[in-house]
Amino acid sequence: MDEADDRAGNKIVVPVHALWGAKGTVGPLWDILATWRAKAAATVTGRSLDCGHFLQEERPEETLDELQQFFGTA
Amino acid sequence: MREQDSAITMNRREMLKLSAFTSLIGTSAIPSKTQATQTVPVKQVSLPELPPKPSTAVAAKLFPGFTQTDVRTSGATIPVFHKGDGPAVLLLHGYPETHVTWHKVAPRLAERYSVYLPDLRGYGDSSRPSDGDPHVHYWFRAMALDQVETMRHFGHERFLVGAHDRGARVAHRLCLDFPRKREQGLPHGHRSDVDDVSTNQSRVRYQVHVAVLPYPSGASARTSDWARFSILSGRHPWRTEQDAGRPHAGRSERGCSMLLLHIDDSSHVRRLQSGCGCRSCDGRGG
Repeated sequence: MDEADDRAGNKIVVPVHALWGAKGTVGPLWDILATWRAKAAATVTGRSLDCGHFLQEERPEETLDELQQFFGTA
Repeated sequence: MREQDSAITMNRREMLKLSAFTSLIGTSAIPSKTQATQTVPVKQVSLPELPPKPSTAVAAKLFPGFTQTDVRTSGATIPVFHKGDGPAVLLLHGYPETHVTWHKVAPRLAERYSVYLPDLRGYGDSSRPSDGDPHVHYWFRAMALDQVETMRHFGHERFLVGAHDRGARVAHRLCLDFPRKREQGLPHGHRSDVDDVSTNQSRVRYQVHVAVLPYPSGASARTSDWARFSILSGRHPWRTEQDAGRPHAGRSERGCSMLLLHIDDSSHVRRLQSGCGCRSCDGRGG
């Protein structure tokens, strides 16, 4: 169904903030922000944290800061 | 502390709203509109390998001051830990996790926000609906509907979302499904309030969605990348390197990942092992 939405041009209409682990397997494999920007019509921001996949457990302080900062602009 | 089964008691108006929504999404993907509007019978499964439930003391330690409420959605029973005042924040766990993954973040976030921590259906202490055909009850669409209904239960038609891993796929589906109702021009009177979830002041935050989103529907990733991801992540031990080298190996992972919760069901295990033959991996995003 994601592909159907892509074909139909349906995109996320709310701001998106993406975080990922620099030591995870994902960051090196994909351009995270570009990927989300292709799927969102609104602002897409984000950055990597110095950890693996489980940001909220490996970097809880930074994750909390990112959440509060992003949510605070809502 | 624990509220026993404070199920949603839907009035007629709410039922009409839900029906309107479901009939819409049913035109695109869900084969039977009744499947998402009726309570799905809980499949009796045996999972002896699971540890016993942690005591309430553990929950009180990890989530001090949080209240647990079991919310009955149209298709599942979702346990939700919640606490706080302020703007509503829904935090979705990934795979293979539960709400506990947020225990280092949620208590402090609850100082400024109303934080809600559900277990997605099939995970943790949530109910385990039957799979449906083709696994319709475990599509991210069904999980997103659970969360919209859960937040509505708490009186939130708009909310912020933080999501990890597969939870971010649920959040993504939530964003796409609910605005779509409006775009498709439902009469105003039939438009569910939940379509405002991802509009206006609401913001959706994807935390790490780990690129699982841009799954290789085309040229977005090389097969070798998928093989590498599959092997390095170690998430799908039943898949061999030979499987990972197949063109659609990554897609099979996506479609089947949620079904790990049914691993005691031999038919599902066979389906998982069948790789690309799995009916849930053919682009539905399940």
